[in-house]
Amino acid sequence: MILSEADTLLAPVTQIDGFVLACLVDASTGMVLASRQNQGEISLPTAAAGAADIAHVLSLLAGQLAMNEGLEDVMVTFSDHFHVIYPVSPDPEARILLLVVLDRARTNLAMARREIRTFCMNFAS
Amino acid sequence: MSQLPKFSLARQLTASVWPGKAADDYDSLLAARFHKLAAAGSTGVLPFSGAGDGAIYFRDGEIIFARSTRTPGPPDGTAAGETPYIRLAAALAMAEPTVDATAELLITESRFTKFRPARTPVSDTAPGLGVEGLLSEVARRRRILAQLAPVVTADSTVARIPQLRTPDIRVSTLQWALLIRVRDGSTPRSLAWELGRSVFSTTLEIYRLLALRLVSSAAQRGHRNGHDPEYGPATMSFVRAVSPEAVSPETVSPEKGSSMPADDLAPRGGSGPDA
Repeated sequence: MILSEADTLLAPVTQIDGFVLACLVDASTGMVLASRQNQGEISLPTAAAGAADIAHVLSLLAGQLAMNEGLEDVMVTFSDHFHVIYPVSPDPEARILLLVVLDRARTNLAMARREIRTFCMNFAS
Repeated sequence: MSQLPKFSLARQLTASVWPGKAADDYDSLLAARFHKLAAAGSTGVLPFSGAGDGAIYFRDGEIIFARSTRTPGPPDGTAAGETPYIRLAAALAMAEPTVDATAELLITESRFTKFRPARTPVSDTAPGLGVEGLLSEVARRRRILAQLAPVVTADSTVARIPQLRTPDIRVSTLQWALLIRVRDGSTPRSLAWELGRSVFSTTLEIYRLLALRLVSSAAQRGHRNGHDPEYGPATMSFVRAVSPEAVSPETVSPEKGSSMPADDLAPRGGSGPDA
């Protein structure tokens, strides 16, 4: 992470059931701005880079399709984990992404998604 | 007991302290200097000169600011506000030029001179960047620039492609700002200076415009024998830049040309004639 004092910003997300890791990523450069991690089983830099790559691919898709829409969220389901990606920027051209990785066995995805959305709304307003 | 040959072992032991001339000594020496300043909780400035003049400023062992003559500095003013997002965006607005300048100084292997301690830091409010995190970020950026090097570098000239290949296309505000500024001789670095953005992020954004086939680079035009690039550039991946098998930083300086294996630079999954 690059801004160590920014890690406290992520404290609310760590309360979500099944929390594994969370980080804020600058989507334009892929730089990790802040991070929190409960378990070391997942490489944080790789997960963050993957979130930035996904955002990059989706921006290419939106560009090529000329979609007049903003990205709301991305959910990736692996056999053991959920990866939830949320833009936290209040403007539609989101620059900062929130990635939350959750343990599938201990997470209610609907509840988690609601908590993440609330966190992002509070974060930006 | 180590199984390393004696010469390799001796070279490893001296790598961080002996100012030799081997290509990989610069990173080791600089990392050792940074770690020493961090461990001592130093406040002051480490000047650089050479291919890129500049300086790196420390406060209590953390890096709070860096400047290079080859990268734009931070914006004059930052947005005021109390929401976490605005605070983070303001911190990022200060941190990005620092990372950009540090990366430039390290990539050009500028000479660092004697650290000049100071009683008061240049800023009490700028966010402090940990040495370890900053060096990791610089290494990551070098690997990404190596991925881009076959199609665009910070100093490649770029040109707008006059014909749109799709009936509709959408670009971001930043991409539009770049597109309308591209003219003869424009490079990502010159555009970064015009917009006051980091050279690294501008180079990435130009790459994205290349992928959308809205601009072409000199490297592409040369490769395609003067024709418009019909196919997109090699795939850039943040994941590949942090994966354990990522290439070592000393092989990726775009200033010197990439020495990565050709297989790593080839377009992935493309349908072009070279794929």
